[in-house]
Amino acid sequence: MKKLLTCTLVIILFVLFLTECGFSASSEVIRKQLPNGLVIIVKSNPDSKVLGINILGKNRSAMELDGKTGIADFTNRMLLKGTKTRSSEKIAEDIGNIGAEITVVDNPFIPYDDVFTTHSFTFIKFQTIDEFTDQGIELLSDLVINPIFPEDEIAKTQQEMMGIMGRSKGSTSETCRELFYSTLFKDHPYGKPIPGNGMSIGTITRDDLVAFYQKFYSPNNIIIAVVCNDPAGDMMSKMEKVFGSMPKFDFPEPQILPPSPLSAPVKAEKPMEKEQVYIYLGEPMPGIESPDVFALDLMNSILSSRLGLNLREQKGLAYSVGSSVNFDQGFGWFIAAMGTRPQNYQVALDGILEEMKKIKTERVSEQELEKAKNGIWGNMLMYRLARISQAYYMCVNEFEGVGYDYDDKYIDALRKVTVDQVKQVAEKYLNTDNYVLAVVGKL
Amino acid sequence: MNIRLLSFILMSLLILSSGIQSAELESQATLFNLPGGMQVIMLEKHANPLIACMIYVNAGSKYETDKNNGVTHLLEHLLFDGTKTRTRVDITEGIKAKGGYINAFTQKELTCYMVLMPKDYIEDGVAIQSDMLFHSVFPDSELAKERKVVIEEIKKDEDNIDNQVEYFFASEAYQGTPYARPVLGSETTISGMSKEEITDYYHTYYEPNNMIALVIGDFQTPEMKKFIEKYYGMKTSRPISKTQAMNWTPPQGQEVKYKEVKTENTYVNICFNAPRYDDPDYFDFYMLTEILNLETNSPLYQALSEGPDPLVTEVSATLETQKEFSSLNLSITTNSPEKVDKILETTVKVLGDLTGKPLEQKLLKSVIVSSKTHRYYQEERLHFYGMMVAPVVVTSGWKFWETFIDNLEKVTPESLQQTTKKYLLEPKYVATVVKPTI
Repeated sequence: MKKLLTCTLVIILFVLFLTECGFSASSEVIRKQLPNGLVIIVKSNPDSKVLGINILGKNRSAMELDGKTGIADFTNRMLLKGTKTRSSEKIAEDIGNIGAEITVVDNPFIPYDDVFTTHSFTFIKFQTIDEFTDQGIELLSDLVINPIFPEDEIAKTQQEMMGIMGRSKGSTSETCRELFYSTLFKDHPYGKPIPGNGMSIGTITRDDLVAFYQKFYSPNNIIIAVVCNDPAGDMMSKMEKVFGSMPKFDFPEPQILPPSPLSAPVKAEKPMEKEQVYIYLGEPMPGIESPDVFALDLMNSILSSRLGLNLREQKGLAYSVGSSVNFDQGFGWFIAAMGTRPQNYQVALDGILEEMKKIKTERVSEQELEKAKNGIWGNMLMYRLARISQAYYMCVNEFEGVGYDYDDKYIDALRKVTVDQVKQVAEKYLNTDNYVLAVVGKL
Repeated sequence: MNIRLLSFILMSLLILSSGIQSAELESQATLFNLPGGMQVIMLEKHANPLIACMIYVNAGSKYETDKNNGVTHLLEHLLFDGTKTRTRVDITEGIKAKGGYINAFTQKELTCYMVLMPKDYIEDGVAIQSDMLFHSVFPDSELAKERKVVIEEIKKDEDNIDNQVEYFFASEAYQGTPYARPVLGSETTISGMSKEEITDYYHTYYEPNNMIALVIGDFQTPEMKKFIEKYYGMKTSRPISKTQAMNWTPPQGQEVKYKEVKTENTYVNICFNAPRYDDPDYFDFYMLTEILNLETNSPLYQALSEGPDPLVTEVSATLETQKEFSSLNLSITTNSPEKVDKILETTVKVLGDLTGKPLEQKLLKSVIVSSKTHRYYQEERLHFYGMMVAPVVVTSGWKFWETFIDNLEKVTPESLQQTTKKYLLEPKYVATVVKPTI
């Protein structure tokens, strides 16, 4: 499979987890903040039978207490394990009765789906079809508002999570990713492993889960987006009715500071007896509010394509290689990643740095820039095919502070970027001297 | 593409087969054959301004030999490396320049090439795709590079515990058949394969009468039909040589094979014989598989996960459906190799119990409703839909897919019980256990 493309596209998605693509002429969108702080966005678009609802929980990693890493994932899993009126069996039965699909965590072993995980937020993706709208909203609201965290289910879920971590531990790419984040971000919330670790998951108690849930699923800490067939006003009324009564839990919003700038190269290594060695190379970038993000996205798209073409397609050094830029409020970060055989390690690393240097010193061509613009536009369309994905990106945009309707503005801004701007941002932000390098595998 | 992923996708696909108003999607399909023999299925979906064109080639690792194992997948890579009139960059960047997406994957029974394009550029995408399929030139330098890339892919897969588990399972469960071989081949076969062997394979299987096109998205059928005829209708075909009939000997006893690797978990995979897709019992078995997959409400999951120290951490079931045979495969993960015997014993008991009394009607209903709604979810993701439907269409035909839900709805608790009794009373199986090195 031409996984180069997949890898690039998947990575680019993070670049793009800004937007919602092209509201069609027939769509109607309403945004409302309820008195309890909850923000609800409803988009009516009668071109599909699917009802998609996404619930975003803000500041996942920053809300987790030290020593309780992974509790956000744990909490999300527990939402399906019992409410005041439904047992886990009853929940499963009711989900089946309306053919609903609920995704509360990413499955790391399905690499090419459209579910991604991040330190920034959690998600609950809920889908059913329009004829089950009322049952669906009732069920989803019950799961989110009335979970009871039964002890026996906690124990089972703990074991499941340990099993998943056991599988991930053997993966060079997963291990390298974690090593990279813990090195770049150190004690910052983004330095924590998203699914937690054996130590943290094993010590999380029911009290911990209940306390975390009360804050994390307080209405002022979540955003809900709905894409449906119903008129937007009608759907807003339905949502307001069930979610408007959620009690608010006041707490200071966590302040997430940018990672410290790098004043020297930092290398982290972890030996593993594997056939491949995995490389993550990266560094801090500006936040989503920076006017440079559009040029940076394009710079990254071109760089990622070049890495694929030169390191994979010309030199045959890798099966998967690519780069990404990621933007949150206040800070961002760049990553180039690659898996290769140990004997190719140095050539591969040099190749990545060489491409980074090249894009800093040489202007990209107009043609290359145009391709990158179209590529990003096409990816946005592709990743927003499903109603549930549209709801997801509306939530993400709202959370990132750029507005649920950011997509069109984003594409307009992208179209205006020039080759000079691409070179300027590469010169300004890409640092080929001071970076974090994480290496995992046969060293 | 990761094979376990594809198994999962196939499983999901079969879950998604249904339609609240039975198979709304399929009722809109336009089917026709091109003069060169290619079958075409066209489905209009106007929710998004995109179109996917999927070409399924009846070429997969099952058509290989021990010597050329991996040639199908290597060829899939090589088709991106240049044609008589386009370079590799022209192909990939040509698609990207129009905002499109191009990709491919290889399975045991098929190779799938896909383009997903903004609707205004679909002709550009189909033109490139057709050129790749029929006019690839395989430059020597690209072949040398592509061998390296594929070997990197093999090494990457070897590092992945899921692949290790799957390869071991396939080699034991399907021993003596081409399904026992890995799709990617091995470093030895990829390094040693001559260019002639590769081009021979290409010329044998890459003929329009050995392909099916599925076009789905925002188009008007008459206009799209013209594009498809233009790019896929011109080539004359020669007959495809039939491969030898393949016989799989289903499990004859209760056999367990062990392998030790560096891992924390223990993985138990079990293979049972199941009715073939054209057997009237098939849909009973499909229903059974989905009920076993119901997690919290699955009788198997319930038995294996009860108590404070459950036997397992994960359970899933797949009805592996090939042209020649089907098998019910269970994948189970546990945190201790000490639990394996008990897992096997419990699994056999649960399956045996299912032969003794009919399951509740509500479980069957839940599977049917979910199947119907999942189809709507998947329809939205045009290329995902094309990926998921691929193995069903290639193995069993579009008609089978079209009527899948209607047939599933005919399953009753009693028919399911009878079929379960026929196949799973004192069941024979082959199990593999991959456990941590001591």
